[in-house]
Amino acid sequence: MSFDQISVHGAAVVTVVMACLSPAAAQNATGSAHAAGSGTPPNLSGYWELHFDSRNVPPASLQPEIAAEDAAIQYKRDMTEIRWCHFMGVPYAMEGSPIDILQNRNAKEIIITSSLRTPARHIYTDGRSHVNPDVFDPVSNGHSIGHWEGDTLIVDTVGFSNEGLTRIPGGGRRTTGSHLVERYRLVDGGERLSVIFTWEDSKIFARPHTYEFWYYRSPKGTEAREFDCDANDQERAKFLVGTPAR
Amino acid sequence: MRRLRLKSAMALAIPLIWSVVAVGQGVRPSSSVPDLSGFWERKDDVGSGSFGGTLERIPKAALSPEVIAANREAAARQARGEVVSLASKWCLTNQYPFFMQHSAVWDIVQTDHEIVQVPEVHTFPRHIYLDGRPHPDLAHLQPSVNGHAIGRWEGDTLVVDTIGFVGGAGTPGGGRVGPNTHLVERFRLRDGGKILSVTFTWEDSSIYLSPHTYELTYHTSDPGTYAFEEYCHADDPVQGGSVVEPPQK
Repeated sequence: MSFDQISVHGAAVVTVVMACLSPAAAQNATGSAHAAGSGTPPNLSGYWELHFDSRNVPPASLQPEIAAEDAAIQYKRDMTEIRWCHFMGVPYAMEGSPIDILQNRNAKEIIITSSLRTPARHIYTDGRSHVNPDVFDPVSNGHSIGHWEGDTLIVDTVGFSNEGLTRIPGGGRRTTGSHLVERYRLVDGGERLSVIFTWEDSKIFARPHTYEFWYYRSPKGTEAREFDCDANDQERAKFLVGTPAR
Repeated sequence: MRRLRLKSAMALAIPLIWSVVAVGQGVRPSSSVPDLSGFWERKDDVGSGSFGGTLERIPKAALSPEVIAANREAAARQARGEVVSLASKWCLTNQYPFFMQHSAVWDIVQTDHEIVQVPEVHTFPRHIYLDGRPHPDLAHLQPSVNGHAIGRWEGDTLVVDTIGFVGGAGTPGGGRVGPNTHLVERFRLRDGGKILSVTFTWEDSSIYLSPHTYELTYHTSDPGTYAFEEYCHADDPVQGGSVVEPPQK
């Protein structure tokens, strides 16, 4: 079958309108704290947001050649990604506020969507292994598999691309050789979600780089946002990559 | 923030009625409703011989004279070699319902309170709220690519009501989506859960003379299916050259 007629690269199907879309309203719903010893994994589902005191991010121990790099190069690269409206990927996706976590009812998958311009994360919890790297096309979110250890969800991600915003909180950047392990755990009776991130990449880090975010449960009524973007907005492009006016 | 300007009492009334209905309903627990979750994909199950052919079987929309005239004008411009859309050149976000008619798989994740559809194509996830909330007050509803979608279960059928589109997308059958368009979809499993049927009904008095209804079917993907990310780089000369504007006269 030829699908060319409706390819997303085809010109005619959609005339798109840009808009920076809104917040709105709702949810919370599930997300009760795990009953110890119940045997049922905690339900992380719901909207979660970062507050001013949500980040505990120590400086990363970088390899000497990475530490010696000109920070302006990474900055310029990141700004180019934003200017062209590229999808951002992990770890930037986890800096969105709110993020929406949906823990599928059949326990086979967890989705994380972000208010940022980034693809949704798929975390497969059905016991599968990572896809053979010989056949997996790297993506900005990588390939994520998860399992529960008591009340903690452990997510293991490999298969990253160099697409999107690659900078990592605390220093360093995501590469195709990066390995990320995240530990998700409800705290404070389910009102906060702790996520501990540990990055390993021998080309970037002298030793594993670990930091923690605390997400606060969003108020009932919180809704997803769409932040759209127009790469053809020349004023926006000038603002992002031009020299700030004095 | 841009406000929706509803031009007809009909467009105003439908979401309000829906809101009242939705508010009065409680959340039905997972165990009592079908499980739609998983990866879904379209196939040529009507034997058309091409993927585009599957859409050609969809009934033609009864369009308003104004829309017919606009479509003719666009077709004439295109025939003259003019560019009528630069969407692919600038990697613009695909608007609903584009991913529902695309060949790429999309994924449903389902909880008691929310369903999210995650497409591979270049667009945002679609959030469908099942917790009984109404649509936002129209004065505060900000248009979005996927619109604002609320759902409820009628027996084994998920009924989804959507308003608040930014407008500009096309629909199968020759219609289009505008800022005042109202969509009702009915999601229902068939053939022991191997097929998901979605019936779309579009209403917009400025576009359609009568509601435009059609059905698309989706097949469950193989176990172990995983999602890709579709990347589109407007700064890539190949992508940026996908549409070349002719010299302007």
